[in-house]
Amino acid sequence: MRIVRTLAASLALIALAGPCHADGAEELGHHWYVPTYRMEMQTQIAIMAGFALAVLAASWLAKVIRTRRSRG
Amino acid sequence: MMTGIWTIAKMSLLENSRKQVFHVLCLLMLAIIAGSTLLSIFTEGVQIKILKDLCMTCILFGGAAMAIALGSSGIPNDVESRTIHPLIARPLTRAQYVMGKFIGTFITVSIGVAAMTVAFSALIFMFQHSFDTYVGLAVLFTLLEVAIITAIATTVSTFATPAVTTVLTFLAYVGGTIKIGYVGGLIERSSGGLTKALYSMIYHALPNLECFNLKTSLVHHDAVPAAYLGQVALYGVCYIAFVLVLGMSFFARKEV
Repeated sequence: MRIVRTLAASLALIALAGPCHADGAEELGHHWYVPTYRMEMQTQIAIMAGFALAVLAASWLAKVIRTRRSRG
Repeated sequence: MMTGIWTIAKMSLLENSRKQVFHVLCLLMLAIIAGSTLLSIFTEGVQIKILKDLCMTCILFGGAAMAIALGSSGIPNDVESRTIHPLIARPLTRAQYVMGKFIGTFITVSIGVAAMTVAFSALIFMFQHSFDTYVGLAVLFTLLEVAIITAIATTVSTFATPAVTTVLTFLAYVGGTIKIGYVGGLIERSSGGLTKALYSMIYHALPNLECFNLKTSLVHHDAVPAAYLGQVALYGVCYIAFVLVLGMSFFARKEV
């Protein structure tokens, strides 16, 4: 009986979640036609690349400073 | 280098596949997919659409739940049971260990998703008397979404307890799904400079998970532009790599 109850509750939850999910999507239209999604992906890729470059530059700078200090 | 990662991945796959939560989630989702035929009987005419919608949501939720449950416990369990000590004593870097754990967890979740996809495809064949080619594409991008959730869970688990990791990853999953519609709206409505900056930071840090949802394409048989698919795939791979590198750098500094 417990299995049947769990199954019924899960089915109801998922059935409710599907249309809720689809409701927002309908309002926005298909996401592949919405420029906001595309722009946000490009922005995030740029942020990640910028962050990685900044970390690389900082570590290179720290290495240069360490080398100069050990020489001086 | 790859041998070390693959050894950890295999170990993680074995460990995860023996976990009760994996079996329970797999069976529950398979039962729901099988049971969804009962629900679609009530809607004459759009049976197949309801079935596809329900099954794709089920595959996504099941995959995400498995990724959160398995990804949040892998590294903390190894640290707590001290099984990590003999591993780190071997010629294996911590970065390789984190990468191996991620790959192992992702393969385990993929096995679960594959089982659900087989059941879903069989149902479609039963109703349509033919296979749907859109299923493969939709499931492939769902897997990419699940990989992002696994990467987040693996990274958070390098510095947090399993309970905290579960909550944070779940929040990231929900936040990433409602990001454009809800968090974007919050930024537009906020007036204060500090609040706006805080919301913008959260907005750009959250993964854009809705992009991976091709359920509507499968349901309505709408073709998605190939350029868009390529961009989404590139974005997914970049996000996973970025999150994993963060996790590796956290774990490299951690005392175990």
